[in-house]
Amino acid sequence: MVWNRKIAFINLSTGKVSQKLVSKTMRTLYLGGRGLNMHMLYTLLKPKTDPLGHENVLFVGAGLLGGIPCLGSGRCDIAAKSPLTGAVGDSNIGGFFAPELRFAGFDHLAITGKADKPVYLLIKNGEVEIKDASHLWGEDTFETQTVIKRDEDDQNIKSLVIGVAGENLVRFANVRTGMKNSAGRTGMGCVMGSKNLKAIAARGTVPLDFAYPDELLEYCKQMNNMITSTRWAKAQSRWGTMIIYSNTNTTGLIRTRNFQLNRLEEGEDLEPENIDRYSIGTSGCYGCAVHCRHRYVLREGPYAPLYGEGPEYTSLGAFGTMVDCKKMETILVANHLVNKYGVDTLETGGLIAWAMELYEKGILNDKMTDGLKLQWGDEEAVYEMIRKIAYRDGFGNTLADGFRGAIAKIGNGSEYYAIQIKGMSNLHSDERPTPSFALGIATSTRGADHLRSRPAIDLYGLPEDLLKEIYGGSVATDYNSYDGKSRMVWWQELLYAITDSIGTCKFQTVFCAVHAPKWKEFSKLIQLATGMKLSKAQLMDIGERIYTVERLFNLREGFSRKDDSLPERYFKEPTPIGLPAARNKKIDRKKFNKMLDEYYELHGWDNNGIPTMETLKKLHLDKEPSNLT
Amino acid sequence: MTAHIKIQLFAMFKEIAGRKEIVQDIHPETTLGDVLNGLAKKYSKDFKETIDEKTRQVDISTLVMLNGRNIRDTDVKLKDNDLIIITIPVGGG
Ligand code: SF4
Repeated sequence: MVWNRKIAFINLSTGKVSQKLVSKTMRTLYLGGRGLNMHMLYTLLKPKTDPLGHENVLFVGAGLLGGIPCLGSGRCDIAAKSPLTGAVGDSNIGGFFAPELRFAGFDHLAITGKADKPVYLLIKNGEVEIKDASHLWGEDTFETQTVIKRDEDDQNIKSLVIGVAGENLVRFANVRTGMKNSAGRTGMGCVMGSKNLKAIAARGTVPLDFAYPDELLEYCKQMNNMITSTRWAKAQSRWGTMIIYSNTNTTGLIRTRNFQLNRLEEGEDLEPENIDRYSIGTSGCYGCAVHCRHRYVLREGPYAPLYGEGPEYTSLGAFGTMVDCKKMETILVANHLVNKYGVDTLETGGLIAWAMELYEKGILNDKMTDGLKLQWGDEEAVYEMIRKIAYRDGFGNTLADGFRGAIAKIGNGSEYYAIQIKGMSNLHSDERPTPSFALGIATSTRGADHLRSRPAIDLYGLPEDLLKEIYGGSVATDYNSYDGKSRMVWWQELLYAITDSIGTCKFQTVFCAVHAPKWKEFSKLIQLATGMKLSKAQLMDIGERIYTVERLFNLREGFSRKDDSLPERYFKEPTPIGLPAARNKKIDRKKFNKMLDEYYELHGWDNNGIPTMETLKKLHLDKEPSNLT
Repeated sequence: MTAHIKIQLFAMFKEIAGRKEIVQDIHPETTLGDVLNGLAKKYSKDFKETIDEKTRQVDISTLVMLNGRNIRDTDVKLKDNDLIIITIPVGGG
């Protein structure tokens, strides 16, 4: 059966590989993908494991529905203890790797130890081989994939790879596959680098043995037809996630010049339509009918010729609004550079924007930046900083350690200006007018992040009865309000935990649009694909279990309620510009704390954010190694 | 002086109308519904779906913001210098 597939345990120090089937019990408790990865992360890692040490384990997991022909089922979850934050490390990547891993006979990999020289894994039809990668060390993320295909004489191989940033142990190095896809957050590429693991290549022909293949195919067709007929899917496929920019920037929901403004003035060139000047079409991930990524070519200018894919809304912020660069071309070049070197676009942009504000305020000077003038809007400075970070060159070495490391080195009040939570940079959204978004970045188990819980539909002013129907309780329509927003965040956390565990794309659930697939559709797909019957209530319990395991992991590592907060600037500095609903807004500390209390209660955690024994029992977590003392 | 409002169009609305911004004169009784109906008449296509025929409110497949705040009530009266954004509700990141 499709649920009954294998985990490979690979020790790179000894070269030993063992295999185990995933049990049905584990599937009903955690599904697959992120869920199973989180279970293994919590149970297999000892407390206080060094993230760059031999004992850290890198988990790679396909979702339970990986390989079905709808909902973008090519998502792969990569996890380990994060070298950036010391908390849960977890990042999700699209493309084609996860289905190929399943075709190669495996759903999960658990990689431990450290190879004594660069290696890559070749996973093929039930076998795992550790191969020499000395010739790949130093190659960028594109070339590495090309060479592996050539060496293995197989153009259909799909690889997860790192670039020079991962080799150089940049703490927010990412893992990449294809031209576009990145597991960007929490430094999973750094963990691969620390293990001398340059790539994981998969290829196989083991069939996916679905429970009801004909009905499944029919239902997937229905899903695809439904999705492609919607306006939101049409917009995503026409402009990608950049579509959000026009509205959020006009309203004043985008942080600019790090955190000094909340709108990019004269930012018209970043309007999504301007990608048309460079786009040669769009592409998609496995099993996706939306195709939200642009394939672009720069034919002129100092960086031409250049081919890239994307960019996402996050890159528009990282190398546009946050650093005050106003040209689409800058975004395209910077997007290409971070992808080539293999660093997280969002962390890189967040750190450079912070450094620019420190430079402006005199906390950094030319001597500290190797003479580089970190001035707003200077794209050449941005490109050079990206390179310096990837190679840990000079001042780049300081930023390559992420906010925690850089603050420790720079000191001098620099921490106040850092827009980070739990050591991880926030994206370029300004959450001061939107308490729901603010709570979500504060509580996210992997540090400041929109993909753990963002209730994007809070911006749509939906009728209260519809919100009640979705969220199962009262939620205020007004996005400035604090009422019911803890419920939104909690609910979205559970939904996204399930999405990441079945391995489908978040853009095709209640992130983009209110009527996008959710519990009912997921439940039916799981039943048709695996034969497992899981109701909405059971799926919500699984989501709760996954989120609670992540919470337990973080508590064990020393995180607590104090870490579920926002940078001080959110409480102290009101938004200076924007339309009336977004102007002069800051987060009210008292109301924020009340939201946090409510949020803990919804999860069944106490006032300090510690899961109660009752909750642990309900989730069958009371026998897991809590190691809380 | 005549009162006027500004309308900003994004996504398919911008494409259909072939422009991003429209400045429109209003009188004291002009409502949001009047403006949306006027646009539907002029540009047809997706503009015709901005109002839910049953509830007479802004349809949930459209995002209309008045001065940065989402709005469903089409009976609301408009004032001088109001900014209306018409786009589609879509998230992502
Ligand atoms: S919507 Fe975009 S990110 Fe999601 S599966 Fe499709 S192409 Fe990939």
